[in-house]
Amino acid sequence: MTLVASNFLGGAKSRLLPASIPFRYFGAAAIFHLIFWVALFLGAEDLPRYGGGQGPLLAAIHSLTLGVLAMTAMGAAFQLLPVATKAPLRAVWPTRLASWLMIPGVALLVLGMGTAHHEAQALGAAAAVLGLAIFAVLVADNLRRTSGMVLVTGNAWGAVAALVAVLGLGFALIVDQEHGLFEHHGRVAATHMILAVYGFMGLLAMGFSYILVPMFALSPAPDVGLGRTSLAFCVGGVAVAASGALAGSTPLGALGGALGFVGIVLHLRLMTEVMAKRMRKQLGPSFVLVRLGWAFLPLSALLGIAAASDLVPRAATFFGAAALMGWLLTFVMGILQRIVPFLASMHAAKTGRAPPLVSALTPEAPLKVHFWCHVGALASIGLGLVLDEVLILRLGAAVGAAGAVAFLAFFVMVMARLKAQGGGAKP
Amino acid sequence: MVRAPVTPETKIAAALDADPGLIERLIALNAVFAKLRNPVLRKTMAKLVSFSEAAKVAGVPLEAMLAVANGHGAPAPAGEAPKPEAMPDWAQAIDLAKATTLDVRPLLARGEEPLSVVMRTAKDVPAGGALVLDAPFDPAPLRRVLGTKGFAAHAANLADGHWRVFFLKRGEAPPSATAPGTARHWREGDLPHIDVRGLEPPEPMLAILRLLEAPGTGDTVIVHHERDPIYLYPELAERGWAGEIVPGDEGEVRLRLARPPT
Repeated sequence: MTLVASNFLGGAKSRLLPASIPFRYFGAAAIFHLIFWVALFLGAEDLPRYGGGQGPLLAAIHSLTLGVLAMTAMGAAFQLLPVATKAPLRAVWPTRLASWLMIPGVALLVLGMGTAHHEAQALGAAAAVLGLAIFAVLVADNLRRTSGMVLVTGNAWGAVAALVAVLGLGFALIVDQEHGLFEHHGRVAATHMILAVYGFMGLLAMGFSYILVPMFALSPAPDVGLGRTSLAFCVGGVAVAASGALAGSTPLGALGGALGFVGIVLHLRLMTEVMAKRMRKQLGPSFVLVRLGWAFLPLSALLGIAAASDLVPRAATFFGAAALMGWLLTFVMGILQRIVPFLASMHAAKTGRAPPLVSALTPEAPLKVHFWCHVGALASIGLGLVLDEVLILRLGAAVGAAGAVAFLAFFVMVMARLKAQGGGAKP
Repeated sequence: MVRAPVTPETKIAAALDADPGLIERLIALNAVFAKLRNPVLRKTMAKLVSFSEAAKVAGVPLEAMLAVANGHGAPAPAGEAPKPEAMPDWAQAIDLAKATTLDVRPLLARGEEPLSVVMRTAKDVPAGGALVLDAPFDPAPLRRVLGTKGFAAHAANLADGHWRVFFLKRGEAPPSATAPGTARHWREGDLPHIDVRGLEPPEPMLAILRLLEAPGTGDTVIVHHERDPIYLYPELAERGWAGEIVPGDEGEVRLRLARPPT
């Protein structure tokens, strides 16, 4: 039985963005991932008692949040959200414009933060804010035109709302360093952090989990009612915790953390059910990372409650490490391990052939190196924080950087295999 | 009055109503058609069975049956009886001790209509479970009806007047409370069809992959979709399947999925 190869994916072109769109964001994320670990290595001595301020650690945090997490969210959202919501993007050029602003903007911002160069920070922040604002408008426009996928869209709406607040507060914080806008800079920074981590990136990660995890694990979609309840608790938790941070209120901060914790438990229950019903039994190391990330999610909320309540010494540092590295970075790297060759397979098929096997596009060796380095880095960072030992922290950052190099090699190899299949696309 | 010609799609009951003498001519062709003297069978099965299906049931050439039905004299010598199908692996794997079994021969012998009993029994078969039916003939219409309810079927002629039909309920998950709907399955022209329109991602992909992995699906499946399922293609490739868009109804993306011979 012969199939007409030229028809293959013939009608998919309108739904598949040019390969360069998602992959430019994912490539940037891979580079910023390396920058994050290097900056963490340089700023390791400040990590156990970090309370804000310029330097390599601030650069590391923003390389991670904006460079890795937001960049991945943009690449994934531009490609996946229109498919999930059945509402195609109105135009492709804004996604390119957002990348032209975002990628150099974040690079300049991180450089400025690392070197305490205010003008570079302000310029980089302005570009990144504009890039993220375009992202927010595109996502909001897409969500506005759909009525389905209520869990994905509900979480995405929450993420967009949080992003607007994050952008405003973030830019204001940079201006505040020179012009002294705020009486309590630390409180505003904490609010910015909660909204960014749990509001923007957290809600987006949870929302995309409702479509990506079932899609990759081949499992039925999760229960909508329970998902809505989870979303309500998470949104309420973020709002109350952010308000508590801004007001300097310990009870409000702890209450927000508790609400968020309930939402997280419900979310993880849904994810556990999805995994239990999956058709694909062998999910590989990428899903070990995803599960590891999930394990850190409730832990981060508990540490957040501890930090808000001043229950545990240096709890804020543990909280930040668990939320950013343990949960978000681990989860996102697991998703990237899976989504990069998956998208590459689809783009390779665009040339008129059946798609190459995802497994054939996946170089296993660098992924294994990245996996073990990531796990080793998390363990070292955790141990270094507990023991308050800079050398162990530096060792963890170095191992993490080695893993980042391996992941970068993985990304380059997938792109090379995609190009060899004739499926690359012009930027 | 001129009777409409009998075609392969004509139902047996309709032809008998239009031509009461046909029953004896069919019995002369093959004694198995003596069952049509049973009025219950004529009211039930004969209304569902077409001439092409009856030819398979009786193991007689379709051309001969049509010649007899259309009054063209002696049965044409040309035409071969359908060859029995090889038993598929999934049917061989059915454990009779664990399967739901039902023997409808006593019912038919008493002149009772077995269809409602079979349908009630089939309804209780869980996903992945098997129903083994013993009948005096190959119940082709029943196989078609249960095919629309997610059953793969294979009929084996064990002895004269004894057929054993193996049904396997495909591994469809029961519809969840949140699902806006479930995929619709049916067979048309011997090809399984699945309609996933209206389902939210990733349900269409799951329903299609479940069908491809179900025993008895075969090597070709027709999918009725509302859009080109771009995320399905890598999964198809991993399973050795490929797909192409074929002409469909307006607003529909119709796909023909096939597993090329190895």
